[in-house]
Amino acid sequence: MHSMLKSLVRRLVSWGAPKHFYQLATKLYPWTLSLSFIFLSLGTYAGLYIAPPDYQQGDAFRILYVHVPSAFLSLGIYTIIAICSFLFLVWKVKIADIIASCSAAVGATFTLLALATGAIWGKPMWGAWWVWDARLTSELILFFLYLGYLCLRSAVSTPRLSGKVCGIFALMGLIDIPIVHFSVKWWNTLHQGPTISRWAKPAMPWPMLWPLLTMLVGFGLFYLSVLFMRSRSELIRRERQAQWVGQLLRKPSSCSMPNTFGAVIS
Amino acid sequence: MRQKDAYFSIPSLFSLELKRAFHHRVDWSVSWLFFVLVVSIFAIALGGQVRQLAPLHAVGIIWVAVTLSTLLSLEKLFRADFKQGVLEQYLFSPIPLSLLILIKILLHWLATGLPLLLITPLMALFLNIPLSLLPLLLLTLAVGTQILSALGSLGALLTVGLPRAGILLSVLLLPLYLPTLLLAMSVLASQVEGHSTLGSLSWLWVLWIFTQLFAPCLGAGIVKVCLRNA
Repeated sequence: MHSMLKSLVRRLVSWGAPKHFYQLATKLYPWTLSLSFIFLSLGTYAGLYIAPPDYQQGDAFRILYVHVPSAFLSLGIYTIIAICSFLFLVWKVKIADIIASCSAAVGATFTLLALATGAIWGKPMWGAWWVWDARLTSELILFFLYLGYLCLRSAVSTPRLSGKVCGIFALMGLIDIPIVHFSVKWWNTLHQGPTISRWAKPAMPWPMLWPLLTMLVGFGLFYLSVLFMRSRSELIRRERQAQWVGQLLRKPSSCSMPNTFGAVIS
Repeated sequence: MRQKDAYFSIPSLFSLELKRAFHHRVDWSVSWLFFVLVVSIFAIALGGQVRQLAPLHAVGIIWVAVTLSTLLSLEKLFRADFKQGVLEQYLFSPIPLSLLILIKILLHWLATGLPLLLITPLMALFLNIPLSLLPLLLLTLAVGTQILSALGSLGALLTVGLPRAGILLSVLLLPLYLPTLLLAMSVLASQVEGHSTLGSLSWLWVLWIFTQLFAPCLGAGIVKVCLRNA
């Protein structure tokens, strides 16, 4: 049992090596991309047509199926960036820095999407496009943190220094994540409370809930696909002096990207 | 020289920094001049309607102008030391690096925050702020500008030596400054609405203690991590 665990940990750690992560990303991204499209289409169709209308909000609540997954992922991706920054700063894991820098743009887009869909939902529901309550303000601050992270990344030219500087900035901004999450509990806000919590039974009935979970999985798989695709090019750029990159670029068939159905176009 | 004798040089280090800042006093004056200009622009643009400006709006303008003015003077805090290699020498000094950074934060507050504080009563006159609100405004500014200096020094250390550090500093620091701004405004809002200010003021004190304690240590960590690479 102990040796099984050790070999599993060793296998996980070996995936962190740039070459193996590149191979893993190349193999996985067509699958995660196609799966994400399947989940997203299924979730969208179910959310728009199959889920029953809300007794209070009618059909207008259906924007929840875009708003909640993007807001959830905006927080989740920032947490991933913070964890990867910590791993890079303390243990100098190179792949953690690459994951952090490739996730930032996606996270910023999801935050913007959450803010925009929230505003579109808020106008018919609350009568206002925007209010300065705790949750909206802290989510806006999160968006500014993402933008600052992206600006800092592009301003520092050397990869090692950029990883450390951006990592420290990401960890400094981590305090905003619990503020966004608990803002509906701590302050008297207009925004409704959490729908899905780990401990209590969800407040939503199952016919409404399963499209939401499907969309959540679809958004998450989409993030993973974008992460894999971006990290492939980032890895090649950073490791361009390494031998495996040279071998990769010299082989004619290995340069071609597998299309989403797995066949190799040569 | 014995290890603990090094601590005797702290007052002379501090006075050296003060003398250097006084020597460059025109450079440091940019921030309070900018503050005066911004408040004047608001007053001039509003024209006669300044009399109808609600007290809460007017103190909001003052606080925004203070935040922006603080951002202007942060870039030069560590730039000269970084260019002359003094920052790397700090790594080997017997005095703890966090103490040296605390000296710098204090210097920044004396060169930027204190002049802003002294000029605020005049600016309150420009924006027609009632005299009853002025003491609390000065208190929130006194505590708040120290918090802004502490957080700002962290941003300055992160971007020291980078090109276009000034504008990058503003982009990085504004999300981090927003909680201080929100807290200070909530203190003033509770005064204007007639509630007790004790709750919000206590949170402002907590933020002050937290930043003054941890900003120097975090700054020392940033210097150690970032300078070893550059």
